[in-house]
Amino acid sequence: MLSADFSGVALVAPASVGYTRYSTDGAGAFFARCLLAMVRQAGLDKQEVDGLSASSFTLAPDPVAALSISLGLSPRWLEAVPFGGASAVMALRRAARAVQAGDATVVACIGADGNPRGGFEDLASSFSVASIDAVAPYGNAGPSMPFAHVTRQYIDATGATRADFGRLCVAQRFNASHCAHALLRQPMTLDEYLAAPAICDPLHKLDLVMPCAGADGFLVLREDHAKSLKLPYARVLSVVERHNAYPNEVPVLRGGWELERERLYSQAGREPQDVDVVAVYDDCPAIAFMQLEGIGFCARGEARHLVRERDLRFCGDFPVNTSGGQLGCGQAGAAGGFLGLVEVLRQVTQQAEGRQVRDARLGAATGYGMVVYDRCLGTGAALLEGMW
Amino acid sequence: MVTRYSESMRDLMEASQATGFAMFHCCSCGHRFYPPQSFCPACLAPDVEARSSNGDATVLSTTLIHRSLDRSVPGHRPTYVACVETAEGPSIFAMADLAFAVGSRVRIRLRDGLFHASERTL
Repeated sequence: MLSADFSGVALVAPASVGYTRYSTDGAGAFFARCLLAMVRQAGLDKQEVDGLSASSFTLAPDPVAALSISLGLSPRWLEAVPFGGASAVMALRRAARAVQAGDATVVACIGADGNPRGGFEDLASSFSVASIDAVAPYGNAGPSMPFAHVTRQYIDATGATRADFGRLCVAQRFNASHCAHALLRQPMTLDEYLAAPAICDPLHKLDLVMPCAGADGFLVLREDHAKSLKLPYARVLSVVERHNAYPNEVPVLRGGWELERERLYSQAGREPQDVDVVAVYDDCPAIAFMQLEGIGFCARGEARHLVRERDLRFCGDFPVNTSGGQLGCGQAGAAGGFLGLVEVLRQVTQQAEGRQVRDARLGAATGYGMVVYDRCLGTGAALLEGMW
Repeated sequence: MVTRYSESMRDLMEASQATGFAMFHCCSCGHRFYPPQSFCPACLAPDVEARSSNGDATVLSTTLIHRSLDRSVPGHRPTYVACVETAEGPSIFAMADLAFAVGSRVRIRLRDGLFHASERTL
């Protein structure tokens, strides 16, 4: 069954701010910078933002409610969306409904996190009860340990090689070299990728994201409102999410995208081949491969052919993670779950500056978040259409 | 690192003392699950118990961890961690003696508060 359509809803003001390796600033400071960048871009007064959707790992001990004080807002609609790498897709889905229903007029969707030294290690070591009981005691390598197993199982099942993963990573690094806020802008070769030291075999250093601080966000409002502000905007064609898909299925070779794909495309009235630009959650490459398969760009287990045959650079014939993704920009906590969708919004509204995908109109962004035990539980995807 | 195991995890380890391994079972519907928790994820009944078993398992994958997040342990040595499918069904992570090939039949034993995978001697 299809859910109600997303007609009349627009996204504007893609923002990526504050990207830095370490910061002792709390998450609130990054929320503030992002909100400021978005209202300036949209030409809105801050008080016109009457909805806030917040995704963060490092806001504690402050609850999300505290953001209304620290950001000086009195919102009619306030929501925590704690889904890590799936945050933006899920924030969009909820914000779009709030705007459609009139519960909010302008919703700021923001993922933001600080990164003090040692912050990532503390977060990863006690991410969930299951991680404390059944993951961290086994080598204490954070999410890299479960993802190393997922990657090995994917390799064994599909025949993908490290060089296949490297093709994606090298293309993303090229894309990052054209993105001002990316922290890793030095292009790399496939040989350099293959020579990187092992961290959690088969994962090596250049398969893994660099934790950092930063924020990403966008505004959700009515389409007629976006038009009246004379802003470049994207329409929401469809958004899907699925949690705990295929529970207990091992090896882990797919996520909820496969269950939701039909809904995603039929609601949008589009096919995978109509998509001009793609963003997939990229911590780590095997997960990115599963997303490309899951939303229909190739058959299950066949992404290795896709990355061999297509050019994934922003100037190529199948642009993927055109800002460099987290592998190029760094992983700013929950902002890592926003970075892809925000970049797709930029691309389909022709605002991607030196890395613009030519004539990009239809974009797909997927999400993957919350490795509570042996895989991420949250999956989602959105299709956005730029109106220009 | 300091482990702060949950009460259910401590129950599972206690039940593992007898034979070396245990798995949570639901007394209402028979579902077997891991990680441990105090109610059944299938039927939500609260009557669950950790039952000891012989720890037979099959290796799904092995990783070699070269770098730990725990900076309080100087000179972290590379550590093998296996992902195994237990005879009871659920998959678990366990320390491993070596890089077991996929499909290897192993035995899981609790040792020094951690599950370990060793070659199964027939």
